[in-house]
Amino acid sequence: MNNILTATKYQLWTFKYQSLLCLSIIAVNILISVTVTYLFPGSGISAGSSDLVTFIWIFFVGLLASTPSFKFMLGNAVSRKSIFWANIFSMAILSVAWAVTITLVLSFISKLGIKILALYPLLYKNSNFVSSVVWFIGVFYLLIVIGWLINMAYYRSSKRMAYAISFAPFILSGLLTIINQSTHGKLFESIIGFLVTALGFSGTIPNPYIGSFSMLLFAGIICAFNYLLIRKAQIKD
Amino acid sequence: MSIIEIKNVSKNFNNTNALKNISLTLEPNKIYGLLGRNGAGKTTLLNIITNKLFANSGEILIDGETVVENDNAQVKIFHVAQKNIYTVNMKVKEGIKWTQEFYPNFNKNYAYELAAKFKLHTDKKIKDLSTGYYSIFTLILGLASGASVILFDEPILGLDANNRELFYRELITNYSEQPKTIVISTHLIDEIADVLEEIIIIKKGELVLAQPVDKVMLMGYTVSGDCTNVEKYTLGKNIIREETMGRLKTTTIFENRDRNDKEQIKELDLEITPVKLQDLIISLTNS
Repeated sequence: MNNILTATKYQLWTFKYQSLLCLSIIAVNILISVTVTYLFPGSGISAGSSDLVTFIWIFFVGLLASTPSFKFMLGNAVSRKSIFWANIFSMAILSVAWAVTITLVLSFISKLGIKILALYPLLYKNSNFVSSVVWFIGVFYLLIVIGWLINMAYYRSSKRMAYAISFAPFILSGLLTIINQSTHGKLFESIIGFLVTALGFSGTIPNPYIGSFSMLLFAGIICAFNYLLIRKAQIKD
Repeated sequence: MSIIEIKNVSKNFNNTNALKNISLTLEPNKIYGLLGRNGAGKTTLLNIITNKLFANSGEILIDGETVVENDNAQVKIFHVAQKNIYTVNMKVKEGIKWTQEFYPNFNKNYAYELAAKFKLHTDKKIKDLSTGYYSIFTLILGLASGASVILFDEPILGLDANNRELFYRELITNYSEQPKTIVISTHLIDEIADVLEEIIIIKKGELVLAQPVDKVMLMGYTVSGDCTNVEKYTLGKNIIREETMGRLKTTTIFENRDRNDKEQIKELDLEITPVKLQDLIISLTNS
């Protein structure tokens, strides 16, 4: 347990630099938006999407930070099982911290009187601070564990397998299109229907809590795959 | 004080047998030399001991506990590896700090003392260190780790003569003040020969020898003299090296000598000379 705590602390420490980078991008974004709004009042220009920037950034954190940390911690007497739990906890802490941060940033931009181009207020109207934080936790956690999954999948793969993974999404989407055509559009209809329900859009008022729950559930399934990948991972070089 | 038991360990990489059924025991508080040619399997063995690789068969125990996926067992071992495992932004002082976090017996003051002795700037980023200074950095972490087993894999890579001497001195001081099991994998055998107590030789993944250094030095010797006489003496013996120049033949033998051998050498008028450890290892790993 002690090792898991230390490894979690280490992982959070590695996120520090990346978080600072993302914060500076958001700060620059706000600065430009404020400048443009005050220079051209009434122009209807919106602030760049701070939440989308964070979505991309957090996905890349999962994608890029996993292997160096894995090597470092394995080289410092930490077992794969402990590394796995440290990743689970540190990524959860990062997601919560960023969910709070981005909610505050969005509300700050809105208070400045700048029109916001952000995904969350667009999808879920009439939301509050708590629902926003909860929804962002779900998105961030899902994205970071997907990044981690891709990273581990590539790390564990041979060259041939890595190519197969790279092409798999294209082949899969092609296959789905063919199946969809042969079922007269029923496949995509049911996928969209499932997503609408899972993301909390099936009722009259969109529910971000259902959306967050579904994403966290999916993240949990991905984490199970991550465990399977990490438990037999060996150093390569 | 820890004992490492390696039992029938084998490791394959695709079609290559990197380690073949290795069994040996690393006793507490001894300094071992892990020797062998490039690609012999030394680093693979160290990586299996430190849970970085999994063996295909066999097991490794430290104080009776498996080393596989065992945090309690692994914290007793510090691996000074060749490969850089530190993140790009990490500074030397941060490397020291994090090693202290993972190794509870780590001595931070001692680490800084050593950094001052080796003139290692702790504010520098690890990625900006030269090969030699990177080696120094990892050596410092190993010496200050407080682990009961330290595995040095090519510890003196890129170190100049002064720093190598300083390292040997610090290693001996550290060992005498706080005895521990030390394994040094290196190619600079002559330099380290005086420090070693036991040597382990691996050749093409197989354990060739695991013996105390003084015993190995007694077993290895060179006889030279008339070609016929040398051949007569060496018949049926474990020859590891032969050289002939005209009628003069020099043969290196590796086996215990008894009283009969000594008498025979006298009778055949052969000259006997000791072999340097490095030459002996070269012969053993080439033969």
